[in-house]
Amino acid sequence: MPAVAGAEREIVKMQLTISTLILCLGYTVVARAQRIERQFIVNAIRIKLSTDQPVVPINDAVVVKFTITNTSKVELPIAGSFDWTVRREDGSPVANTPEGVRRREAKRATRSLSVPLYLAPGASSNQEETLSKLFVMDVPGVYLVSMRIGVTDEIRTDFIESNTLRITVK
Amino acid sequence: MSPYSLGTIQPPTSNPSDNSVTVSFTVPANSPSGSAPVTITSTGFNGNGFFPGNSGNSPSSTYNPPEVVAVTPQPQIMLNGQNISGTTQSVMAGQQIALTVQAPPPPYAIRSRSWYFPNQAAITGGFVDGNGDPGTQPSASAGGSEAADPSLNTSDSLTFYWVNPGDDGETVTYTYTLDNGQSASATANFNVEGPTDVSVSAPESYMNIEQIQDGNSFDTFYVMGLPNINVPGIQFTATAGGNQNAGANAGFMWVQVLTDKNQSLSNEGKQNCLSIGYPTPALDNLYPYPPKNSNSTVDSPRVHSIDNEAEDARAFNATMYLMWNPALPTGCTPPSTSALGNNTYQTNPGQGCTSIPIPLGSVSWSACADAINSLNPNVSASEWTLGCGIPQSANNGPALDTNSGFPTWQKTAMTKITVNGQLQQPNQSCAPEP
Repeated sequence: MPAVAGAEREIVKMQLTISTLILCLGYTVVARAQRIERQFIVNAIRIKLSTDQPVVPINDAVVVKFTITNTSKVELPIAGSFDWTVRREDGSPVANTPEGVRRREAKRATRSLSVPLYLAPGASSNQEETLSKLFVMDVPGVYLVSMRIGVTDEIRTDFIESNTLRITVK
Repeated sequence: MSPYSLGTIQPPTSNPSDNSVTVSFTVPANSPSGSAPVTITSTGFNGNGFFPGNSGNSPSSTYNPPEVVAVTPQPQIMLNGQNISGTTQSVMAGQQIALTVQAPPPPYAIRSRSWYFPNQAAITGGFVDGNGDPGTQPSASAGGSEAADPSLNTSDSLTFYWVNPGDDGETVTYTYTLDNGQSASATANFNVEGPTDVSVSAPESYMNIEQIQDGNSFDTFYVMGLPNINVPGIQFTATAGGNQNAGANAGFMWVQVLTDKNQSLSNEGKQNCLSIGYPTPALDNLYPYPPKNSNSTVDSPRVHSIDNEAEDARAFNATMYLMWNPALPTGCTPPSTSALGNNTYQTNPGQGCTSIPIPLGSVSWSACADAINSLNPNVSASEWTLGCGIPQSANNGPALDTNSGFPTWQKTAMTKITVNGQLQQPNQSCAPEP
């Protein structure tokens, strides 16, 4: 009967609309990057500093290894800059070398290329940094080294902090 | 006299009573088709002709029937030592195809030859440096461009690459003409494998003002997206079907070029510029562009605003190319770039590949923003507002253009990033108009 046929058409139209909505929603969910809470990232990322040479002859390169690990079950970006701090044992800061100054300035540069380090769930990135290129470490003594990475959203920055490494130059 | 005249043959008889002679001769293998007349001349019986003969008989007799039918050897198209004439080969798009045709046996010689592709748009001579020099590799410093197609009528060898994955039934025909005027041809068929039904999603975030704490102070950026919390300005994600089972390291590759003359920065009406130079487009720092993972990459253009400035503006136009390299022979390493964080990247020029990356398409996109410092004396730090920003809201992003060809650049738009341990120093001067 016509009334029933019309109702069937409406049902089919509704089914098509729902299917379309589900497809669009699915596409949107797949296409959009998933925003992750700042504090979640801070809690999920670990930074571990280590060195093969805790005692370094003066004027030799001071090399620090660092491992950044994603302990969560989701892929996470590491988009913030790596802020190194080197202090003397009495807490006084160690100055940057000219190369270190250039590196600090570089993080403020306008960029046309910006790709974070993405860490898969459970993955680590093992890298090393020659700190004596960035800091004046040619004075004998004990140096305390740490590194942090900022995680910023619209509101504020929180930091992922590393352990502190003790290196002796003599 | 025919150029193939054999001259005089002395028949093996001297007996005047013989009533026949047998003469053997060979027509050269490369003789043209036609008759081979045989003229027999008697010098016997006082030169009066054949005996018994009447006076006045001609001493000569011509026998015309022998016909020479030229036989032209067929060319053989060789690929990897195999004759592929008349066969169909399955190959990968981007795979180096080096064809040769062996010379015909002596005494044949080739007068001219030609290769013919009914669909010549489906091949390329390669992906090389910015000058198009054959045999070179594209790189950030040397530029990149598509090489010209190989010459099709100068050599019996031909090296090229198919660029049309999923296209079955492509053919190449080789024809030579020998010095006897005869021609012969051979045809080889190709099914070209590789990624098909390619799509790229490129959803965009929007422009934000971001305050990043640096020690006890704050740095102000306006940035597309919020990359720190996994919201990139734009994320390109490729999907494709087809047969992608090529080399062990086969995969997608991204190349981004910046297409505006200058990355405009205006500070209180005074324009500064970033590092592009002429000609455009210029490579966005690195070749290839660093990926996020095996099938996606991101970008989040941003500008650092300076506290004592009243206004900062920036326009940004770019084209991201999606390419695919079959990485052949298997086990070779194509060029790659890795993001290490901290705006630091590591590049590897690759090793051992004879294949090239082929373009699958490109996405042209843009962003711009204008950040204004309120200069509010009641606020201890600068108070920035986003005067305008494009995009102003998240969207599905620009579409894929599958006919854009290879990316081309001669210069690199270098910004302050660290590559392979070296901090790069950008050119901050405005490029002059050409």
